Amino acid sequence: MTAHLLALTVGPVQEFIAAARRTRDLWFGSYLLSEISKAAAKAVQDRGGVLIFPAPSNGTDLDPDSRLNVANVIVAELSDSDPAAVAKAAKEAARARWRSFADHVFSTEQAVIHADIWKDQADDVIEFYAAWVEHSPATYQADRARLMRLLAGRKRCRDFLPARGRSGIPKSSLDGMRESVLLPPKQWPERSRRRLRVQEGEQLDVVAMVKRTWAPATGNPRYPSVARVAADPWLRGVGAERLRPVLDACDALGNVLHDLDTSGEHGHPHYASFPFEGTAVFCSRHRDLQQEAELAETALASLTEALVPLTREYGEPNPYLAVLVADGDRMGQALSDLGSAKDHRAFSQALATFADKAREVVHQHHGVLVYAGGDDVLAFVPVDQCVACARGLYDSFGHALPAVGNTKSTLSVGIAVAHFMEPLEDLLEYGRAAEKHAKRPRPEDGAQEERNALAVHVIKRGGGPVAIRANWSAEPDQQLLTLATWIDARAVSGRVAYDLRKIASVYDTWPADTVQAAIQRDTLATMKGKQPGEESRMHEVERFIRTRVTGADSLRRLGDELLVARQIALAVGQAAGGGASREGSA
Amino acid sequence: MTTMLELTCRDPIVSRDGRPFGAGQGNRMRSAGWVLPSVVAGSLRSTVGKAAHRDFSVETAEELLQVEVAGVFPLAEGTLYLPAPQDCVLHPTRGPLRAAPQVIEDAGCDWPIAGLQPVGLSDDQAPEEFKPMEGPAWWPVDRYASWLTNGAFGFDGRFLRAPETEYRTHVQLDPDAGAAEDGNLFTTAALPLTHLRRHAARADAAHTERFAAITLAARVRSSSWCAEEAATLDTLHPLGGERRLVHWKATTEASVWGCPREVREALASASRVRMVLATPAVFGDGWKPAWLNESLVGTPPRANVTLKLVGVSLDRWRAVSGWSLAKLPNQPRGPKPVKRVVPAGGVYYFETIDGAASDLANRWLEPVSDDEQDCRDGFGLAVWGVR
Repeated sequence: MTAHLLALTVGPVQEFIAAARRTRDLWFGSYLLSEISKAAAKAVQDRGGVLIFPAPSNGTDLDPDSRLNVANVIVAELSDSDPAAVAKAAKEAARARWRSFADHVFSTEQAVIHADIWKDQADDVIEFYAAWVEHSPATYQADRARLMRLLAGRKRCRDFLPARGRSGIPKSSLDGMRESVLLPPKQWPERSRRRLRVQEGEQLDVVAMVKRTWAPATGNPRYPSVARVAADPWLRGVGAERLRPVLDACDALGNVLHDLDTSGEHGHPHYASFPFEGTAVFCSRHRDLQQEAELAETALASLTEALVPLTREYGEPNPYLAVLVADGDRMGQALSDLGSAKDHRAFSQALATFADKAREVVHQHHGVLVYAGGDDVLAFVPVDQCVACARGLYDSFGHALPAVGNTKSTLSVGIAVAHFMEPLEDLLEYGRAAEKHAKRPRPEDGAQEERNALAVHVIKRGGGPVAIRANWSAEPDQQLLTLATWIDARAVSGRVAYDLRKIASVYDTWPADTVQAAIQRDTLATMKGKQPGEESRMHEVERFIRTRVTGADSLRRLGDELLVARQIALAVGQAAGGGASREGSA
Repeated sequence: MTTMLELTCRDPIVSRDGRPFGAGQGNRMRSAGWVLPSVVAGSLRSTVGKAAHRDFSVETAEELLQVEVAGVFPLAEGTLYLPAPQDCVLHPTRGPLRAAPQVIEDAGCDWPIAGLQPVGLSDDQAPEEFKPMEGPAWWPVDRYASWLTNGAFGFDGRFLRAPETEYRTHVQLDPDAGAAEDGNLFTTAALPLTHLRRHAARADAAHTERFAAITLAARVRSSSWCAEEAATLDTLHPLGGERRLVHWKATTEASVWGCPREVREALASASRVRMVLATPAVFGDGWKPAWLNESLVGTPPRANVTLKLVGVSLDRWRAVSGWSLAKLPNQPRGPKPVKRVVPAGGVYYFETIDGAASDLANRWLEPVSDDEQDCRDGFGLAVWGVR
């Protein structure tokens, strides 16, 4: 038999990854897709395929629930197996793995599921495309290019079965693509209603149901929500001692606040000092919490009481968090340049190493890693840590991956700072918009290179969005942290940014040769005039202004950076145990 | 009897996806990219029924369901616009390229059915990998005809972009206090359809250079009282959700819906043709029309030529459902079952087996869905070209 190169892609990506209302939906959807892809990869390997992508480094990497995150595109060399048969086996394995998750959920949640609708949907979820080309190692590069083009051609035939719809059934609230499998809530047993935390009127189809409720036989990993990430700086600032009464009140509420998993395989050990849902410390959310969990009106009284002295002393916890989306630059180009299967395997392994490191970095910065696979990262990080986390990821990527041509591998990172109450799909969109901005500068950014950049967007409720972007070489992380430190130390007022914008518009039409001196003088005068109190750093600030501000555009950009830095400063202040007297409200 | 309608939108139009929306169900609406055929059909039938002062009994409902509706498509400066076909790949430097079935050697794929070829660009068209750019969403029918007959082709300011969804956040008022109720915000999403942005217009150009004013064109075929009402329509009535108003007017301008001459001439001598969906299609076999057998051979509805499918270029399926206001024997009032549609722009490549391709010119903008009611609702309107 001749040798072949085989490529497979497993889906659907949208239903598994994008459609989500809770962070758990998102994380589990990614995990699910990875497990299904892993099963397909294992089937290829078991039938004599030598995997190129992913490139497992040992015998257990492809076992179910292993640490390896497998992307949904698989490439392998087949020396003498029939590619059509291998592809078929991989498809069966992917389907079987999905069914194992679905069947488990069905067996535990039968009481709330409409069995007929479930059966109609469960077998029609997995999408699968495969392509293969004859191959010899001498022509790897050309063969691989031909293979990927063929796979793209195969994917243009998006085959699907007709729907098996029913009248009178509402559609899934997450994406409206399939009917809901849930029986009307009135028919549910009491314990199911509490446990499932399905919002009133929320409908789930088979995929959404599996994402929301699947739990391993041993225990139930509760996944931190965006509220927990937003509350983290405040919780760190208050400290475990002072939080004792709150912790006790949360414990007393039993299962309502859903203890977070802090030690398991997918756990978050850095949340061990407050292993409860973030909504516990946001008093404005207590009414909704009480309604959703069907508690008595007074059930949360002791919790609210325990919080009163803390909020008086430390302020209300800041409700903003950072959504971090990162993507490797020119990865397509890098892959096309690889000359042999061996090089490609090394590249795959480097990506897997980066994914592992990314988890470490995000956890070090008290964040929640939703997804790290290939060169993509999606994480929720507390605002005081987000910029340092971005830098950590950027550096790890450069170290883990081989150079592309003669330049180091680089990562474009987008950060969106937004309110935890925003719908999850919006938070994701903000994050992706920031990442898109990091890839491609906008006209107002001035002269910047494409890619290899950090973009930070702040989307405040009741205010216009603020966006800044700079190439990593300009050390934007350092600049932001410096500004944040000054604002937190009250050496600079965060609100002076609005005055700077006004000054900038005055100087818009000034000739280039005279504007610099004048605008710097004006800026410094304003900043000195609006100083909150701490004067000893003024010479540092002055030096900063003289290097950064050369005209109206650069002043406007500085204003925007100050607005972003102010958000970071608020979180930094809370993490340091700052009291309610600190500048500004959220 | 056939009537053409021109719709002028007074409000942005709500054509939303199937997610539950309303009190106690969901407070976020998502819009589809364009108005679904079923939305137009439903609104038109309601309009005709009300104009005739009917009572919407089961008989009336069943008569109205027989009304055939096609559209809507943008109409700008007297030209009909059709959605961009999936076989157009926009190269950053080489411009629009035509994807076509490729013959492959020493290779294979896991096709759902034997006999298909992969669709893509040849090595001559694009030797190296590139990232396709996004092209304009709506093409004027005369330029579309060039594309379908492999004539000279390029984009210019007559091509239009997709509408941008407009979001509105609403509050619910407490009727006694007249103040907003706490926490009862909801968001609607709608498409403003009075203007569409022109392709590649400069940001500092004049308004008419950046935007084209549009109305929407629809075609109605009906009989008896429905036909009489449709022919004299000149009224305001909602289209789609949230009671957004549109002015419905019968016109006599039929020529925009006819098959362009150059397409008719090209089809006369063709043995290889393309079918492009102008509206989403509902097929009995999902991605594939049920009028093709297991050997991929068949005849499109009401046509006289036998075709064999050799390749397709489709986007992923979309879900269409809707809400039935009518109470019918086989469809109670309430959520309708989900249908999976092949999105508009999907391309099917054929060889003629028997009969003359010239017949297809008579099937221009006629429905090819499998179910008769889906055809009447406007799903699967197709245009034909050569390859």
